[in-house]
Amino acid sequence: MSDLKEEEIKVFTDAVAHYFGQLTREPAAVRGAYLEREGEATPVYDFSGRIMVTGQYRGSVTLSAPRAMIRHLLVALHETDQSEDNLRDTVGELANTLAGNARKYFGENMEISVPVTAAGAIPGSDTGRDRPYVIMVNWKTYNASLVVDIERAS
Amino acid sequence: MKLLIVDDSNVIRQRIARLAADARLPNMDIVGQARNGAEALLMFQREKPDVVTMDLTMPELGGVEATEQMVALKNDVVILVVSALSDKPTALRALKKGAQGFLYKPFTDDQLVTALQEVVRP
Amino acid sequence: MKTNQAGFLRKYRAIVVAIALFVTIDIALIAYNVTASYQIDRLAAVRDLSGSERSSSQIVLRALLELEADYTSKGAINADAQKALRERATLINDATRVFREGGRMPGNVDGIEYPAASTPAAIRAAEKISSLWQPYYALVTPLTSNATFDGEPLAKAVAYARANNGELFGAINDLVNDAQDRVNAETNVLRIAQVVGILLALANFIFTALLAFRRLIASDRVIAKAQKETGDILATVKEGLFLITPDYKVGEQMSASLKDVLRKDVPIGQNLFDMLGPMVTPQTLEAARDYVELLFGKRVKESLVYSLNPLSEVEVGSEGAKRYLGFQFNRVLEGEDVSYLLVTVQDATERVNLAAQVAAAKSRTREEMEVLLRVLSNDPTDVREFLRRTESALEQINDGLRQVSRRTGENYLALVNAVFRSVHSIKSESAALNLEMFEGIAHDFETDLIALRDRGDVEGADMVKLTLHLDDLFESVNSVRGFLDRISGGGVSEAERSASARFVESLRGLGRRIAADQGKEVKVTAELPVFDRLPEAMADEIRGIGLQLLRNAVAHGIEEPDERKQLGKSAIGLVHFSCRDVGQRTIEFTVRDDGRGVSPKRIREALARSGRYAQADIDAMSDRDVVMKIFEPGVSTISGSTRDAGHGAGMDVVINRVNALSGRISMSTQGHSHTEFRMRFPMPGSAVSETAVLRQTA
Repeated sequence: MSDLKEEEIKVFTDAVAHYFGQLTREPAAVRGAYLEREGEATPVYDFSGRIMVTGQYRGSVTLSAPRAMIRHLLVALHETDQSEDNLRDTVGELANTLAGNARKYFGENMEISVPVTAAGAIPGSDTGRDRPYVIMVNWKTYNASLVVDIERAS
Repeated sequence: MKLLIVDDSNVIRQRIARLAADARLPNMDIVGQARNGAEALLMFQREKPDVVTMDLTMPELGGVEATEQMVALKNDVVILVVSALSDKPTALRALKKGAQGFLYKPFTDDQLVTALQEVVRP
Repeated sequence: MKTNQAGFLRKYRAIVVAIALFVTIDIALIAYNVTASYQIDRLAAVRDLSGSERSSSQIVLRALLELEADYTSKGAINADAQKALRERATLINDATRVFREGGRMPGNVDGIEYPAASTPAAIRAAEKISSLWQPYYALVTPLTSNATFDGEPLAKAVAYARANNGELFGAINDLVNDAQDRVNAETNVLRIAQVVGILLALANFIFTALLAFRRLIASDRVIAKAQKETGDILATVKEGLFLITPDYKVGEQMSASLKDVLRKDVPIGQNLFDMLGPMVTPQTLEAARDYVELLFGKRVKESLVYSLNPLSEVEVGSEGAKRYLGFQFNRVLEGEDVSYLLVTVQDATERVNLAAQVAAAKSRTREEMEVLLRVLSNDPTDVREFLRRTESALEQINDGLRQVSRRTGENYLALVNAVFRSVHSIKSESAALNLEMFEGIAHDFETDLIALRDRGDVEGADMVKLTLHLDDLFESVNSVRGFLDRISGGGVSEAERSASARFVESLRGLGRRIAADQGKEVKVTAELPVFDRLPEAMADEIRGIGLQLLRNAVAHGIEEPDERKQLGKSAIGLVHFSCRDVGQRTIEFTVRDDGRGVSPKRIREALARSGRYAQADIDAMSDRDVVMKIFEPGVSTISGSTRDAGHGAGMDVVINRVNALSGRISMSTQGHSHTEFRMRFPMPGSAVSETAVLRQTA
C-alpha cells in the first residue's frame, strides 16, 4: 500500500482548486497526474512557491505556475499592480493556502514551514520520494504543476 | 473608523485595503499599511487607529507582540488577526493579548468584510 | 432593560390594575371619611349649640320669674338672676343669628364655623325662633344691665315670656331635633360607606390574591413544562451537552448521551480541565484553557474564534480503542455577561477512520511480504523476469499518464482501458508466479479502473488515484528486487532453466491455484518446441496470452467435477498448450480445453447484464456474432467478480497482445466438448525449425 492516500494528495489539489474557485468563482481543475522518474526534474513554470514539511511526513509541496496565469488571477482580483514582486507574492499566498489546508487536515502530524518562493525553479529539494507525484492543474487556459513530494516518515 | 493594515504580503495588504472601501463597511478610513510589527507600532502611535488587521508571522516584530503593545497603548483598539501560517496556540496567544477575532487565510472578499463587520460591532 | 420592564408590565397588568384599584378605593374611603367626619362634627356642634339655646330659653324664663319674685317681695334686684338672664339672653340672641345666617359665635369662643340652617324644617324653626325672640330680647334687654328698673317692664317681659316660652322652646327643640337627625343620618351614611368600602377592599384583595395565585400556578406550570422539555431534549439528543460555569465547573444539566460519548461519568461541579486532563496532551489542555478563558472574557468575538478551538478533534482512548472527540463551545449570555459556556461533544472517530484503514493496509503488506519471501527462495530468476516485464509495463502506463496530463481534450477513458489491459496482465503473471502481493495490488488497481470505466465520465482528477496504485507497484518492484539482490549475492543457478520450462511451471502453478479457488480439478499439458528460441519480447507476449487464456479456460470452460462426471467426462479438466513453427516463418500458438464450450446463450445473458446492448439488438445477433463479442472489453459470463474472472477484460488483453505481435486469432468451440484458440504470429528474424516435442503434465 502506498504511504500516501488519495485523500491526502487531494488536500493539496483541493486547496489549489478552491483558492481559484473562491477568489474567481472558477475553480482550477486537475488535468492529470503522473509519477516523475527518479532524479528527473519536475515541470517548472515562471513562478514557484514551496512549503517544506517535517514531522510524521517529510518532504515538500511545490506549486509552479506560469506568469500569464498569475497575472490573470490578479486581474480577476481587480489587482492592478502586476509587478514581479506582486506576482511572486501571489504564488507565495497560494503556497500559504496549501499550508493552511494541510495544517487543517494533518493537524499536529505535520509541521509546515513558511513558504519560499522563486522566479522559476526553487533550488534544492530532493528530500522526498523516489518518484514524486506530479499533478497538472488547469485554470482557464493555463497549466500549473503541483508536485507532491511527501513521504510518511516511519 | 481608522483602519491600520498589518501584513508582510503586499497583495494581502492591497486586497484588504480595497475591501475596506466596501459599502458594508461605512466610515472605514485606512490610516496606514505596515509590513511588519515594528512599522505597525510606529504607525499606531502616530495615527491611533480604531481597527487593526494583524498578520502573525512577520519579519522584525511578530503579530502577537505587536498586538500586545498596541493594546497597552490603546485598550479599546479592535484587532482582527488575519493569518494562514500561525498554528492555533500562536493565534490563541494573540487573542489572549487582546485581539478580538481570527480569520484564516486565504479568505474570500465576503469573509473579510463579514469578519471586519463583526469585529467592530459593539 | 426597557424591554424587560415592558414585558413585566404586560405580564402582570391584571395584578397591577387590581392593586391600583385597591389603593384608589382606600384613598376615596379615607377622603370620604374625613369630609363626612367634619360634616358630622359641624352638625353635632349645631346640635349642641341649639341644645344650649334650648336650655338657655328655660333659664331666661326662670331668671325672669326669680327677678319678679324678688322684686315683688323685697323690692330688690336679684343680681344672680340678672346675670344669668344677661348671659343666656345674649347666647340665645347670638345663636339665633348664627342659625339663620351661618358664621361664628362672637369672639369665636368654640372655634366652629356654623352652617346656616339648610333643611326646610330648620329654616322654618330658625325663622320662628328669630321672630319670637326679637320682641322677647327687646323686653329683656332693659332688665339685664340696669341696677334698678321698674316693675312694669319686668311684668311685661314676664308676661311675654310666659305667653311665648312654650312656642319658643318648641321651635328651638325642632332645631335641636333636626340637627340630631342630621347627625344620625350622616353618621349612618358614614357607617354604611365604611362597611361598603371595607367590603370593596376585601373583594379587591381577594380578586388580586386569586389573580396572583393563578398566575403563580400558571408560571409554575410553564416552568415545569420548560424543565420537562429541556429534560426531554437532554435525554434524547445524540450529542453530549453540558454547561460550564465561569469558574470552569460542570453545570447541573447535561444530556443523557454525554457519558456515552465521553465513555465516563461526569460529576456535576467537576472542573472542566480536570475532566479533560487525562484525555489530552498538556499542550492541548493549556490551549483549551486559553480558549475557554477567552470565551468567558468579553473581548473576543465568538464567531471569529471558532476556528481556533483546540479541542475540535481530540484523540482519546488507549491503544486499540482509539477514538476522536470533537468539543464545541458556545457562549450563553445573560444580559451582556457570559453566564455559561454550552459544550457540545461529538464522536469524530469516523472522520479519522481512514487513517486507521491505511495502517491496517500497511500491516497487510508486511504479511504479503512474508508470503513473497517464501516464494522467492524457490525461483528468483522467474521473479526477476517478472519484475523486468512489470517495470517496463509500469513505465508505459506512466508515460500514458504523463502525456494525458499535458494535453487538453484527452480521452481519459481510452487511457483507463489501456492501463487496465496492462494491469490485468501484471495480475495474471503475478498470479502465475504466486506473487500474491502484486496480484493483490493489481487487483485493487483493476477494481478502481473498472469503477472508473463503468462510471464513464473519467476526468483528470481521477488520474491521481492511478498514480497511487502505480507507485505501489513501482515500490513493490523495487522492494522485491532489492530483496532479491540481497539474498542472491553471487547469483543463483536457477537462471539456467529454460524459458519453456519456466513457462510451463507458471501455467501449472496458475492452473492449480485457480482450480483450487473454484473447486475444480485441472491438468495442464504443453508442447512448446519452439518457445525457447523465440525473441524475448515475443516470448513475453505469448506467455501473457497463455496465462490469460488459461485463466479463462479454468474459470469459464472447465466444469465442476460432478458436472463433468454426469457428462461422462473425466473429473479432471484438461488444458493443452502448444507452440509450433508451422512454416513460412510463422509460429502457431494454441490453447485448447475440454470444457463446456463457449455458449452463445450464456454470452447473450452476459451482454444483457452488461447493459451495453438493448435486448432487441442481442436477440437480432447471430450466434457467431454473439460469440465474437467475447473479444470486446467488459463482457464476462461470470456474474460476480473474483480475482480470476468476472471483470470481462481477459479477451481484451489477449486481442491487444495478438495485435502487438501482428498476429491473428481464431476460435473454435463445441458445447460440452471443447474450446480452442488458435493464433498465428509472423516470426521476426530468421526461421526456426521444429525439433522436439516436449510433453509435460501437471
